[in-house]
Amino acid sequence: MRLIALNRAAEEAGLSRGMMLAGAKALVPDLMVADSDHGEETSDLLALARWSMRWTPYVAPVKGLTNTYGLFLDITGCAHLFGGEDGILADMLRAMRGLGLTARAACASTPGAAFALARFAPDAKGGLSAPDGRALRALVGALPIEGLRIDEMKASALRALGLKTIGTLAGQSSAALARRFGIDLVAALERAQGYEDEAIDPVCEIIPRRVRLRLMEPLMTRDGLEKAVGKAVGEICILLARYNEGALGLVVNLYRVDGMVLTLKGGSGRPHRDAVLWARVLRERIEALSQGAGLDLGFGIDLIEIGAPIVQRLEDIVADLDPIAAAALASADALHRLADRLSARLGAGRVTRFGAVASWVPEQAVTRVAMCDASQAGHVAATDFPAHIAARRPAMLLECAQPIDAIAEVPDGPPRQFRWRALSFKVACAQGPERIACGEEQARDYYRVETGEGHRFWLYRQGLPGLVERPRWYVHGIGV
Amino acid sequence: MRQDLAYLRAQIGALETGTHGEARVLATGARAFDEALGGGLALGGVSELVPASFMDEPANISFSLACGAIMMAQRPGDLVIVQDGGQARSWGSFYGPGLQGRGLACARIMLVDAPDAKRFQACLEECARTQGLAGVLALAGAKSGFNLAGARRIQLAAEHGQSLVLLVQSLRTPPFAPARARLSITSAPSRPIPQGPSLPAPGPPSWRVRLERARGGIKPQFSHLAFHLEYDDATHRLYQPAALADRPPVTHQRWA
Repeated sequence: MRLIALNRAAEEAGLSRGMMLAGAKALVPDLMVADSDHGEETSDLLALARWSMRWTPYVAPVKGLTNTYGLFLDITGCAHLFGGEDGILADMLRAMRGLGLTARAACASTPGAAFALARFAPDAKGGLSAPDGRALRALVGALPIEGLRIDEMKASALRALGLKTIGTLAGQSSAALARRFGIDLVAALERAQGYEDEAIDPVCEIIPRRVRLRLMEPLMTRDGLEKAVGKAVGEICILLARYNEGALGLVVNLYRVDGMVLTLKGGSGRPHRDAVLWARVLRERIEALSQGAGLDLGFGIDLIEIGAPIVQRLEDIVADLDPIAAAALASADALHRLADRLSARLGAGRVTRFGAVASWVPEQAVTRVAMCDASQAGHVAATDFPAHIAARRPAMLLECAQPIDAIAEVPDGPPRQFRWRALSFKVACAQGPERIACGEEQARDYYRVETGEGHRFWLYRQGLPGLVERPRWYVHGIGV
Repeated sequence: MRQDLAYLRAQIGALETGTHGEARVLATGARAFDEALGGGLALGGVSELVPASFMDEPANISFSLACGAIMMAQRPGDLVIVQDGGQARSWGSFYGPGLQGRGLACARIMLVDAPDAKRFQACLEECARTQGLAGVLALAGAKSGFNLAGARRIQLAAEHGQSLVLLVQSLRTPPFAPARARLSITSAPSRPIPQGPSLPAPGPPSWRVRLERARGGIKPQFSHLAFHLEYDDATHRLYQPAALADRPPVTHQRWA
């Protein structure tokens, strides 16, 4: 077992990264250690990456290295908002220190160079904004080869050859390096020296239509939060109005000062940019979350970001002169508003319409389509079931068919008497059978029956008479 | 009735419902039944449907669906069905094709599944307040009874939206105090359709409906009236079968 991370006290006691645990315990007998949990660490890093979107939307964790945690931030076009590159680096380091993290930051023209500098340049503790071109290569050249993001085996092989810094490695013939260590090493060298750019994989999808609201004082109360969200909604609606678009959903990210991001999502059945309605939906969402204790504002919110991930172009609406058509339009509008609010309160899956599925199996012929689910937008079509089938189906269908004891006419007649839930029923009227065959064993003969008291059931016999020795009877629906 | 008494009654009625003049109603088609209700199911109010016994709960639900089909046929807009999911669904869940077979077009139905009694009441209030819906069917569970204040809120919301709310009670739900009408539903055998030598086929759905209360309808001392109603799914109307047909069901032996 080895040490992979230390706090300041441990460093001052003379311990270092990579030390064996036994040796460390011998040096410091009352050393406190905890097992490393890779999954937890990765998810923490992802949470930190999301929180780092306060500086730029393009944030990606460093991948492919063990026990090395870092973030790439593409600050192109963002630095001037924080007072230039030095300003943004200082801001990042201050924020990370506030979270209790030791961080080093560097900024360079390519992610490869920035990584090497942030990890190994001595100036990176206070934030290092590197120059371009020859000066950058000189800076990077002095760094150890681990700065190339290569695995430990390769690094130790290079060290054995005496190639300890990036500068000496760059002096070698690249063809020879490629032959001996693979083309990846040459590519890594190019990237670290700022010759070759590299794409990063952002943690969140980039939403073009978004607005951010910086708050002077962290928000601690729900009242304040609702007001601030309302203001943010107003601003994004103004933005959408500029492009003549309507949103099908809004995503609100609340950046807590202690390094967490809370997300609120509101959806709508059809695109619109009515700020009052959107504010109402999000308020419902806040209320629903705080009832379930899922909205912990912690030490406060200092940044609110609101985005419209799915937008559609809105055509200008002509107010209809025909009163009936206008009433229908208003009614449809009222329904969608109701659906949006209820979906925000209960969850999209609880506010639904029926959707038809082309299947003969009765329990598979129906699905529920959420009224306002942005991912299903456009699929919510008015669906009708075939009329000849609909006429013979019950109003209520049991979740799964329940077995009954039935006495039926032999060989294949309708049931005359049956017991269900410890009650005995005598059949007075019956219509059927309607055969739904899904394989010989599974074939069902459905009957609509009415008892002497007027109770109506939808029963079926499983298995074809003659083929199956004792067919079983089930009740599947009620009120047929 | 004396004229001044009638005037006072009208004034109290206006105070109660917040509407001046005549209350609006939705005719169901069965004339005697509508007259007893005071013209039909009340708009801007809650009508309560209660089952007479446990086995009558399905009949209660199917009667409410027939009323729902009538609402959808006569009024524009969508039908909203609010269910209290906290109750055990002992009678299964609504089945789209079956609803459509009874005249409830699935493209105009919105289903709301409230997870518990509290949110059921909140959702029902929200739906009742919405203007421009064809109607609201609310399926209450055993635990979703309203207290007086909660019931009044629903009533006020329904008045505000001028919406037709049918509250489908289960057997154990406590009564809804400000209901405009209270109907007790019993299942009744339908008039069978003879079909050759085998058992006859079930006829159109039918119920025995007892009027327990109707504000603005028939006077209380006559209110314990029972009606035998059938539903016609072609014209979306309720009707009373002719007295001649109200004889013991024809048994299949006569055709054997």
